[in-house]
Amino acid sequence: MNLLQLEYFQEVAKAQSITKAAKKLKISQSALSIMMNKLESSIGYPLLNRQGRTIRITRYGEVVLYYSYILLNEMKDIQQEFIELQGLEQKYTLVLGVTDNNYYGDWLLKLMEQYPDMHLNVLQMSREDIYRNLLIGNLDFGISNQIEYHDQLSSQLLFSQPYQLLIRYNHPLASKGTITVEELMQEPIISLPPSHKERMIDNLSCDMHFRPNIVFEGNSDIMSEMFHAGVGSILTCAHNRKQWMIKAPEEYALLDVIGSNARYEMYLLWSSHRFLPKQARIFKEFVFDYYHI
Amino acid sequence: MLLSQLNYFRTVARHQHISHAAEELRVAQPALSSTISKLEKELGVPLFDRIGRNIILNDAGQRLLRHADYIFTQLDALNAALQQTDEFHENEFTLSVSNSMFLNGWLQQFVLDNPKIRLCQKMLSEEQMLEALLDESVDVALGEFDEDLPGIVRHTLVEDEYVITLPGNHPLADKGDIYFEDIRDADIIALPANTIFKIADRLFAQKDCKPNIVFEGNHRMMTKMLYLNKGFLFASRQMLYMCGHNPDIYSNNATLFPIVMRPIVDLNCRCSLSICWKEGRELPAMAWNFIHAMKTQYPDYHNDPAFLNSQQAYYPNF
Repeated sequence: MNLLQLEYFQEVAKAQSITKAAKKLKISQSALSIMMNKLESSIGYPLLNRQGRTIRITRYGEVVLYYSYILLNEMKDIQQEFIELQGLEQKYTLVLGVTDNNYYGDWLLKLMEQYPDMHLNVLQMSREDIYRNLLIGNLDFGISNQIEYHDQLSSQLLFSQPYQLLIRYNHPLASKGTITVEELMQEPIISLPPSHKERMIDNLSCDMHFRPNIVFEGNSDIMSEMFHAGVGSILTCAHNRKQWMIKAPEEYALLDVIGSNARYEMYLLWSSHRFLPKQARIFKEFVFDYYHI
Repeated sequence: MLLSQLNYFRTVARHQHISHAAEELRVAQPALSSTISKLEKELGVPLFDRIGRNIILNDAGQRLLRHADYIFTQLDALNAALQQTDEFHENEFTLSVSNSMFLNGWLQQFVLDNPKIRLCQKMLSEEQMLEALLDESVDVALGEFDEDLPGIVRHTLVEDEYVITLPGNHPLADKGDIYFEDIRDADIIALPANTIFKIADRLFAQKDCKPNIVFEGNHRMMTKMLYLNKGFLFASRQMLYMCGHNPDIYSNNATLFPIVMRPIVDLNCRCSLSICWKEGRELPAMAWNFIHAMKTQYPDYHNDPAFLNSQQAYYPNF
């Protein structure tokens, strides 16, 4: 087994076709075929299931694929570390995995303003994928609002805030300042669509055991439009509410939710053992500074 | 950078001595030296400080060693994961039976003999089994198949026959041969199987009739029904035989009474218990073990003189 074989195997797995992968790698199909056969025989297990034109990765192939990312990413880390050791600069693309950046997009924009040369990819994925990709080195950082302990990952709580319901000034509860579960159950809610993995309204309703009265689901732009058209209220927290409060502050009121200790939390995650390149260290410092950690 | 280079580097780093490392790696000393030099050139910094004839791992070398150690632990982890996958895969198979009574006593022994087994058992009718074999959601099926089927390998375990079972004190028990006329309109008690209706239906269809099935239940209830003269039991001999193989039934000291098993002389009641799998399919090793054990160790009632000799008045261990 060698690293080039693993690199090519990753392409074959992605393309699910020898022909397509060969085209992308700019080598001949037969050369790629021979290479995959060699990889299979050196590993001693079938990695590809060739059924007609399509190729399926076998369960052994899945295992090899997982470790191929670990190995090849570690090789990249070596190169990165030694380039820095020689005092040289090299373009590094920082990859960030987020469950949902609807709630904290503002600092990302600030970061990009402050470091215009920083190459940053931000990918949305499930929490499970964030963990997996951090472990195999495909991500430099992950941001998620829930964490589970993992011995190979480090985490830092960025913020923790109680939920608030954002309503318009003419709402009957506007002068009250608080809202109970019973009232919240009745309240028409505007929310992100369920495809967003970590919706605030789901977190809160799950904690307080009620079924929210969601009257409108859409992305943040249309949510804001609907809110200002009086369709319903939006669940938010201190960190997130500015996004919706685009008019004069008198236009809005915020209600604290009574009877729940649920808080909206955000964590930064990274791999404990990996070498953090300069760009990653800058990023981490920036985020820590932003949240006063 | 190659994995072999990293391996050479690790060995040199461990020994901090070129010739000792060369000895361990069984390579020529100059070749090893040049590998290390190439690596240093590629990474742009020296990895060892050379003091006289000694070499000492420096800071950059320490850094590389951390990565190299990680890479080789991950390679070990990869091999372990592949082996685990292998074991997991080879010990797992999905079985389907039409009547779990066919496995009474026998399957328990197989599982005890093969402790690594990861078995999944589904109760399906014979028709559903064929579909499941072909779409590969089931690896091995055990049921009363009576003909060869396209794309399926069938191995007959027991050549069998459906018989009428009645209490020893029933008038028909003394009659001798039983004809279809005797039972055409009788109430039939059925063993709880997915397909008993189908098989009884198919056998009765030879005479353009339908069996009048009045009761279906577990064997203990069924025996009581039989004893209370609520009907005749229509089942295969192997099924009746396997009832006696249920250890639970042995331990429940039920009242024994004679039961008479009689073939219907003017009705073709043959059926065969077969084990099936999809033609050309690569089954997990455990599935082949299972098939082999079924072929060689499955208890066929024909081989049990006690059962064969008791056909006139069989005392089942219900």
